[in-house]
Amino acid sequence: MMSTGDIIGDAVIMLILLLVAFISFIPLWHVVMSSFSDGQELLSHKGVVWKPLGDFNLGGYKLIFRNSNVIKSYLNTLLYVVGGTGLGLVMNVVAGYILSRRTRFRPLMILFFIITTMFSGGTIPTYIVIRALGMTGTPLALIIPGCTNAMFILYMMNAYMAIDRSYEEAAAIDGAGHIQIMFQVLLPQAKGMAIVVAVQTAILKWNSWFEASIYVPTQRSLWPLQLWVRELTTNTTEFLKSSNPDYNQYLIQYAVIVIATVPLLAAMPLFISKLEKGIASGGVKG
Amino acid sequence: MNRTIAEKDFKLSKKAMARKDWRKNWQIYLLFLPLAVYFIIFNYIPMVGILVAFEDYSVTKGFFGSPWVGFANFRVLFTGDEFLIALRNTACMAVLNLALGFLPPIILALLFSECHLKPYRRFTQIVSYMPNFVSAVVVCALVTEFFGMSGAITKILTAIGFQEQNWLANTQIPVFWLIYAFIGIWMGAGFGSVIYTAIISSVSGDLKEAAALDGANRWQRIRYVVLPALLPLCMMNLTLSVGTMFLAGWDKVLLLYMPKTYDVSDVLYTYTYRMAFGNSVNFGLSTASGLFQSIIGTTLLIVSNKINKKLTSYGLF
Amino acid sequence: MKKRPSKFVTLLLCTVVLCCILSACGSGGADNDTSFTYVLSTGEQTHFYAEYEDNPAVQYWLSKEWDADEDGKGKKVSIDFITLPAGAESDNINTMLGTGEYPMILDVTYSSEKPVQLYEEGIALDITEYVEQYMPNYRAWMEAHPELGSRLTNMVNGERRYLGLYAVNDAPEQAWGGYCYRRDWIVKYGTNPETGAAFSGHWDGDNWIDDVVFPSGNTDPIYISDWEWMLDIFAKAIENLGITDGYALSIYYPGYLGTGDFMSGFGAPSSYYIDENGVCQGGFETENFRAYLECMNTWYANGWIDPQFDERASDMFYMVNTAATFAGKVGAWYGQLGTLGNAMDNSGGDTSNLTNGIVVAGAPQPINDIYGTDECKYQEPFAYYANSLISNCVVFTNKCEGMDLPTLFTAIDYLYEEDGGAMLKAYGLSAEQVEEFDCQWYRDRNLAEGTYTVGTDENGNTTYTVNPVLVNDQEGLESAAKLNRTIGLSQQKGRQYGYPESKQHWINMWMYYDNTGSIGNEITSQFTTEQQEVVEATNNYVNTYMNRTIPRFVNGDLDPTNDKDWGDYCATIVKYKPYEYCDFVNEILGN
Repeated sequence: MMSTGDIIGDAVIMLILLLVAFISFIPLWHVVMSSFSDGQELLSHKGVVWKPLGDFNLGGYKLIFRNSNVIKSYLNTLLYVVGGTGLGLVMNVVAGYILSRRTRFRPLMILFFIITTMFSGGTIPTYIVIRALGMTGTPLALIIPGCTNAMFILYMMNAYMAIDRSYEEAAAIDGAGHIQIMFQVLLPQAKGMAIVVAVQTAILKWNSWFEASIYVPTQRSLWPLQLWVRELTTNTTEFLKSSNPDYNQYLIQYAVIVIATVPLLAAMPLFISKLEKGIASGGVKG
Repeated sequence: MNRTIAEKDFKLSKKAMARKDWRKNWQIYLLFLPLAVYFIIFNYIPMVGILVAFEDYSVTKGFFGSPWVGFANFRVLFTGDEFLIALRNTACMAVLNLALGFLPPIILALLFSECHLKPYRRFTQIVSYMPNFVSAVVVCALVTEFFGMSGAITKILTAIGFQEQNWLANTQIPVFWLIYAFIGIWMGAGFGSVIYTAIISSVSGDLKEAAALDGANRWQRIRYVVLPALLPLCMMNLTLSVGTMFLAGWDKVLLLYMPKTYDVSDVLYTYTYRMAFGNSVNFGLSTASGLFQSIIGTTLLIVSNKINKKLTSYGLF
Repeated sequence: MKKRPSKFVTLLLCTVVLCCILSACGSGGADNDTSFTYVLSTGEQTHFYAEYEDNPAVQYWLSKEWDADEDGKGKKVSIDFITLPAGAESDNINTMLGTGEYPMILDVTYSSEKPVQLYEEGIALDITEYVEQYMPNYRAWMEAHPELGSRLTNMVNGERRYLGLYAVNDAPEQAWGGYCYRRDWIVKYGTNPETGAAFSGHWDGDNWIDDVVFPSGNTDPIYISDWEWMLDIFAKAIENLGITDGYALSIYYPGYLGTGDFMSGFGAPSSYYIDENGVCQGGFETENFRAYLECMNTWYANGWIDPQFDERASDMFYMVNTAATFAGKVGAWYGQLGTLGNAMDNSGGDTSNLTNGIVVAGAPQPINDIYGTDECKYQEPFAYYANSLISNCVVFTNKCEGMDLPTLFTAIDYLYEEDGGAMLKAYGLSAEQVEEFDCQWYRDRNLAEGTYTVGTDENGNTTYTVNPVLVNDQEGLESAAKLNRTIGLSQQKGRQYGYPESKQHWINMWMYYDNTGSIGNEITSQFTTEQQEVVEATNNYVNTYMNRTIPRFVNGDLDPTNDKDWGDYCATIVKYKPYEYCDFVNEILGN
């Protein structure tokens, strides 16, 4: 059924996407290949690393994983990601629903959320609040704050508002309350956005390190992966001051990016298939 | 589908309206309560810290104990030799970032949705997310590489007739600004498209099929089915981006600029950074600078929302 | 459909419960008047031990009993060391101070408030009486270094008081960096400046032996004229080898180092320094600095300097061209200990590789004998980037009130005792101490023989040779085995690493001259709050202006010999009032 125009169009699209993929591929590829290189050759190399320089070398990874806390930090990060995303999801779903209703105070409520993206008070007052809640030094400080933001809530709102009103009107006539409409009628259709926002929350939580460095600075057993990444990469050329430098130290900065990113990327196909399924079941079937 | 929020058919008195609204929506307000508490605790109470902008702040004296200096911090900030240049660069770069960076995620999302070879689409999609996960430090190092003397992009530019040079050291307007906008797109376009993909996919199935049955071609389908569905999100995103364009992401400049190019590359963030983070941290200055940018951002947000509301009726609030 | 939301809620509840359980574990320890908390500026790599108190040298120190009141009854001290996440130290310390959660002993390296400010605000204690009564070793060091001793006290109401304790050395630590140059290129492409004969050189075991002579008649480059001769050879070498992206000399971004270094051989470093009379000076508009720039300008014009030196910079990174240097395309640069000798050779014997047969030697800061007026010539360098005799400072906070401070200060004074704690801090445990303390941690790391062996050199001085296990270690064991991160006296005199002779010679070259001109943190941290503000504002303007102008003097955009260019520069610098800083420092130094 496809016309020649469509075929050419498809080909052009695929070509463009290939180019986009290639350009997007370069930074991570460079990092992965650098992490497998010989440290000294890497130091003398200029330009993108397309294949491991020198002999294939896992030295950087060995240096990272000799610290047993790093492995444990994967579990910590997982806890913070799952906890934060779960809580955030509930809040986004509810808040988005609230803002999508035609209420008198809707504009004010939207403003209430947006202001928080524009103004922030800094580290110390936030710390004082979190300490007052008794959360410093506990994983709660890394899970509960920052699991949603105005952007996410507005995205959810937008998704609800894009749904045809007839569904909820029908449900309302059947006597459904807000909770029922939200979870049973609207959410299935806005599922795609809920997943997208949840994934973004998860990425935020996965990448966050600053909160941990302030709220659990000395509880190393609670540190998330990214704080170890920071700890391991603060001084990448310090080793050259040693009389017998271990050039594998130079690889650490690349290897940590790989170990911190690969799990996320590995989860991406899952996310995309969930997204597609979610949308399919949302679609029109309701 | 096209709905406006303004409810003009209400012609009741204010009081009656309020009562009716409460009766109809009290559950909504009840649901709002816990969310409000969350945001008040974690976002609004810490805003006490903004006081620092008006104080000669000392960490030990605290927010209420430090001496009040009024607008002295702002005065220091605004009277610096490089302030005007930094302000101009910030504004131009923010606008350029927004202008060049707004469309690519949308276009990319459309391209993904129009790619019918599923594994190919998934592969390219995932790969396009990758730069989002690589730290700014690495990306900036690669940019320095690509745009440096004999870097890959420099070579391409030389081939099309530009003089060979380290483009990051170029002090002509708007070379640095364009490079900076390019980095934003490189790092963010792929993952930025996810949100649009979610919307496009939700309208794709049946509506697109229906349109196809009507004999619409690809372009017509996009034009009359997909774009209208995207419009509210685009408008919202645009409004929000206008508001936040001054606020985030400037740390990359710190990695890319050099004293040689301060005239084009110095932004408020780096300007404040040099002033406030020497041997000791000047919280007053850095908070004042942040507050200044927040206020500009909020003003822009309100203005752009107004304009948006007028032009397209997709107002945020 | 209905199940979905409840699943999330369950998940959430589970998480919350889990967190509560987790947070319930791990609560505070016992309190008595000899247990202290101490925030360190830096910790060791965490694979050595989880907490700093697990450091064997710390354990050895804290296993001792201290009898401060000399009543025959000793007491132990226990210290809970806190190391902060790397890269977030100042955020943490500011948060601690801002929320009142600071420790009893605080290392102020990363604190934005220094001892004087902390004292003014009632956080830091005046510890004068304790130092005078319980710290004879600390005071002994101060008396042995009268010119530095005054730097360890602070002016409070016109009186010199002790507000903090400083980590000190009895002699400069071995340098870890300095000027490096390619000795192999001189041998290959240079000729004897007197006879015109070719040079020869080879590795004899671990030692490099050659017959290189510089024009001044020395075997090391001592004068600027030696350097010019050498850079010319490098330029020839680069041409011969067909290197297109290499150059004779790679310099740091602004064209000078604020600490002095290369400039100091012209008589005055550009920024602040302490002159031979112990007075702080600013060298911004001196003829000396002008002569230095004239030299750099000439070198740049000769094509010797990295033409992109002023583009290899951002505020985060000032760097030499590492890639080209490590690829063997650069003749001279500022390098680190790890690059000396043939360490940079990664050719694997491949002679087409530019690093094949590389020999990197260390050079002292050169003395100017060519440029400028007579007063700029033949000046011995006296200021360069090096470890000073005074480093970290700790303050004792008001949380110590009511604690047994006499015992604490007696215990800390042990760390200043020569041949006592000073050895723990400089080296770690000796063989006897390993035995006495039954230290398994040491044995597990092949250190049963202790960290050093005592001997005597040809002049009859005692030497301490570092255990080769530590010298060869690549992972920071040397630092982890000793009391590196606390305050105390680090006994550096007589320290021997057992390096090959040529390597040791090159390291010594880096510290050929005494570094008397640097202004250390111990001075700048004594600024009062008002002084600090003035200094910050001035420095910002001065640095920004110099960072933008000096490279132009080097690359020929501006001409240092042109009176107008130079005059404009001087006029602008003066506008920023850079000399107030000197007044502040001189006040602190008691001039």
